[in-house]
Amino acid sequence: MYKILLINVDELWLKGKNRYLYFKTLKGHVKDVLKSYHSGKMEFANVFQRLVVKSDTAFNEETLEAVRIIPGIHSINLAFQVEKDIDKALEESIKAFKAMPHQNFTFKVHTTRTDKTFPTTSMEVNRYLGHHLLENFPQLKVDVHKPDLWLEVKILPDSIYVSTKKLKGIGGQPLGQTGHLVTMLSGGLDSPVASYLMSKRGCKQTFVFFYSYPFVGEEVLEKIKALTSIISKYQRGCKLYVIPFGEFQKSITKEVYEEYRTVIFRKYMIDCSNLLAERVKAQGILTGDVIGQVSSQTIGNIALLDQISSRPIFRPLVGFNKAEIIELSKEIGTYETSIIPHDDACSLFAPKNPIIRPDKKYWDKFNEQFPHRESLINCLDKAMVYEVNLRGEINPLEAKD
Amino acid sequence: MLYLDYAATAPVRLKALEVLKEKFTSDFANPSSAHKLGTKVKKEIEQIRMGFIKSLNAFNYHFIFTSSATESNNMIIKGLDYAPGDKVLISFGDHPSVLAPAKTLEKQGVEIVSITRYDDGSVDEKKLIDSLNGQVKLIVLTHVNNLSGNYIDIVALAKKIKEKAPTVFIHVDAVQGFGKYPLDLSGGEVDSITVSAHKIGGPKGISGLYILKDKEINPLLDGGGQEFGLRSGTLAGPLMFSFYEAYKEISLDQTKHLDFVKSLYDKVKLALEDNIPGIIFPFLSGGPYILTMVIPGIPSDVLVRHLEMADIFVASSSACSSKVKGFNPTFEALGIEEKYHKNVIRVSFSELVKFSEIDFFIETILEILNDLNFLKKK
Repeated sequence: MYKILLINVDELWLKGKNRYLYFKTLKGHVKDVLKSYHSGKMEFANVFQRLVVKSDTAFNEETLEAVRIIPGIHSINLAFQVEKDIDKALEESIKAFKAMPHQNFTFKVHTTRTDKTFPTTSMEVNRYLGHHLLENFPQLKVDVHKPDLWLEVKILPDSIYVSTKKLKGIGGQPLGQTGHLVTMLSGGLDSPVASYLMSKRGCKQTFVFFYSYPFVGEEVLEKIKALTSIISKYQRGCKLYVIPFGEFQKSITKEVYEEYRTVIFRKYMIDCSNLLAERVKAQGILTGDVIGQVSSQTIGNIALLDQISSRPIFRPLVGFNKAEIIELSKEIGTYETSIIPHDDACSLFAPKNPIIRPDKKYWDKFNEQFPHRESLINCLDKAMVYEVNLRGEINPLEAKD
Repeated sequence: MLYLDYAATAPVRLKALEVLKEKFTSDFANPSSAHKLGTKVKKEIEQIRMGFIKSLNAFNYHFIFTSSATESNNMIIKGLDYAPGDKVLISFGDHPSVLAPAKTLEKQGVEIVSITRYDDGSVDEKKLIDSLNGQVKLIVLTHVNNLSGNYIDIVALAKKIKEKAPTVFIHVDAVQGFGKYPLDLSGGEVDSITVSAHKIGGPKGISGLYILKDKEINPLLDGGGQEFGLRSGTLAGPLMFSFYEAYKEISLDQTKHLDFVKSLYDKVKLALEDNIPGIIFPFLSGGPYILTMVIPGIPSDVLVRHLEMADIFVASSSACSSKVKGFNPTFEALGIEEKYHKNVIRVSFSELVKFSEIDFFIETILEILNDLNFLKKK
């Protein structure tokens, strides 16, 4: 039913001189998403700090949701456009009120007059519309504090836009403006949430999964693909690298002390993620680590791992409690998929007593003795690469070399 | 490829495939049609129906075709008339297509009672017979259990049951043993028997049910009245002919095949017993077509995937329930301790498997287990 979107941008005020670039990036992203979801004709215009999208056909729910979760969007007003005539705005408002599912709500009129040449001030428009709406709908009441319905009237240079419905975006920064990360996915609850938080901060991501087949089954890979499909909607198309790791892990168990297995596997995954970052020109690594959650996530182990990584490792969840992560995962839609039980290679390989305070000497010596750079390059070369489009559809690509 | 999961299903035998192709394209007519094409197919179907009957001396039985063993089992278990308080005896270690329909009877006030088993999964016959009384309406027996391979001489057992309780209905799920073990129904001790095509190299989508002619059951499907009114639906002629072709091939040299498969079974069992410390063969009365083992400390899924990398295919549990992780109620019923439920491997054979392939299997699994030794927690 809505053919017009007024897209309000988040955090643009931060940007000073770069504002133009930020706006352009966001606009490009919105265009891409709309073009892959919406079949109607569309016009895009910048009107002051807003992006106005007009179409000849109404946007459906799925499309609106896809746009709503684009990083950098503060909110979207679903609007009607009228001539710059206050009575036309009234007429449209009456229509919108009549279309409400029930007729006993409270409302508030909120006008913003961006076009200062328009003769009536915002306050006057509020009063005029409020007065006449009450006359037309005598059973309704105005509530300026907690109204059921906000009637937003935006007076822009070209037209007046009337909106009774506003979608709250996820905010943050336009995607791709802040950098590129390699995101390590594990299939659990944490890494998809970590990815989301960094998408919100505008980070483009390339996803990597270390696939321990034949120690885990294909259902784990299916789960990873399903999760990638969900979190990719916060990206602008992306890639997933599935790196065969089972045979490599098996060979490592013969070289390393049992209690160091987990942290050493972790190290090689980070090494390999760095090699991937080099290829895809990413500047950092992203993980779902939470302090203390498992033994490899103690400060001691994290400190060791940070030393061997040639790129910064971002861990946006370090300070989160499990309950907070679960809440976020429900919000972004990954919870139901994350909790599907699966074989876990980590627990299979897990030593009886994993090391909590690793011995720096052993660690350094081990790393010097077994760099395994060739093996890791080999793993990366054998990766299955998937491309995820703007609709979250995931398809295999030929492996790159 | 080395396929050792014949208890799950088998590839279609070449002759059976030929028949399938020919019948789908030439003798495709509806056997209910009055014209020459139809009557020809009908006549041929009656011939193979008689073939199935003759081969088991089942002259007191109807042989009807169904779509699956699941359908055959459902047809009997749900098709009898029950009164509240009736009892159905069943083994909780049996196939879901037996257990699930029995479970639905509980809503009608029917009591489902588990047949007691020994620790090795075999049926305690004495307890079974002692438990018989007027309230027992139906006993469901499994000829060869799909997980343990345990074999029951169902005719002998049915005879003992009927001596004590002549009116009880005895249904047998013979899917795993049909065509592989001798079976003689001339005494009519068993009331109905489920058999299936795809386990013996016939096509999927066709199965059968032997049922004593004087027994009444309520059909699951009503319609054109085919199959003596017990199972309406256009007869799947090509599938039926192909089923029969596969059956002829496997049952022709039944004893020879059984002896050969026994030698495969013995060879594998001996080699693994000698070379894998701690290996357990939980089912002493397991038959030669199915060899089930527990390898403590080695997750069966992991072993199955390592074998599949070597192009060898075995099962970690029944194909129908292999997604269930951890505790497995069927293993529990068969007497396997819960701590071993994730360590069960089933290897199942066919007379088509070669000795050289078995050597390859033994060599490969031992190599893999040697490699996976680190998984055993100290």
